[in-house]
Amino acid sequence: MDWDADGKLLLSVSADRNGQVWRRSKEGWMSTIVALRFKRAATCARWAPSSSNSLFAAGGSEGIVAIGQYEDSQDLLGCRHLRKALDGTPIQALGWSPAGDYLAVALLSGKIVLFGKDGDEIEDKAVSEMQVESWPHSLAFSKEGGTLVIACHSGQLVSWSLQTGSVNTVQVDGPLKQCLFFKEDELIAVPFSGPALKVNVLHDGQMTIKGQFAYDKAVNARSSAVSSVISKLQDASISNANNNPQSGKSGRLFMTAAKEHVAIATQGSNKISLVPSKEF
Amino acid sequence: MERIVVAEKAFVPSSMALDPNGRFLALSNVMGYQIDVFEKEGSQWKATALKEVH
Repeated sequence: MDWDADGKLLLSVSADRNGQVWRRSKEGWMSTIVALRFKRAATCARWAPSSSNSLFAAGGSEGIVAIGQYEDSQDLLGCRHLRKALDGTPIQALGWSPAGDYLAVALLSGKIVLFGKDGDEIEDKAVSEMQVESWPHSLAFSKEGGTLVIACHSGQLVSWSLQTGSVNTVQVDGPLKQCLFFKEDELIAVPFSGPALKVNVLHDGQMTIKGQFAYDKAVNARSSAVSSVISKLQDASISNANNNPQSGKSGRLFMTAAKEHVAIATQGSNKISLVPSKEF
Repeated sequence: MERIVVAEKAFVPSSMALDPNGRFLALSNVMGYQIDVFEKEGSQWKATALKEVH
């Protein structure tokens, strides 16, 4: 799922091989079907930045990327496919450069493909490509778009300088699920298990792990200021977290970022936390 | 830190998207068949139902 740059359109894709664009109206949430024309499950989807006229991309298990454009006058949105530069393995992750001029695609084979635009259209040929050593789970462009970082199942975090082509890696314990840039030179790497890591990324792609994001500590310190939506169930969870220093540290985290907040979920729990970005 | 509780019966979220304005938080299950959207109203988050989800 992904929200567009204005926060008005939600793009979702699913194992039913289709996509939908959701928008809020007085009658509730209304959807427009996206005909991805996939034969197998859709796995990921991303809106292009706002400058790209509601362009979006979706990836699927059969290793194809669908490119579409939202128009509110349409009842059914069509797509065209990118496949020539891909190797047929499932699409693991997609990412648009901040200016919307590049689309990065991560494949299960470890191949990372960069597509570019010809005018307003993404061309079905690779501008550049590279290979990581294990399954990529997530990729992220730096805020200025000069570096692409890939989080891998091997625990490798790989940075690819799009200006020089240089590749740098750091190794962490256990598989990485996600990576998110918060500043031009700083990202959060989220493992499948264990605390999230703060990583410094220099312009040349060199990376240094700066430390862990103290998720549990932040929760405990702020538990007294929890808003009124919290139920007794959650109060019990916080109490357990206070009593058990290991609680949450072995849980699976995943995150999503907006301009001012980061949402953090712990898998296996029914709690979602919103943290101001400045706390990272 | 604000915290939201998904209802007890809710699925374990596998994908999550927070809109850029911090108003809507969407959660979906592992296959993408079920989506819940929470909307912030004042200091509270309220569930809004999506119909005819995948």
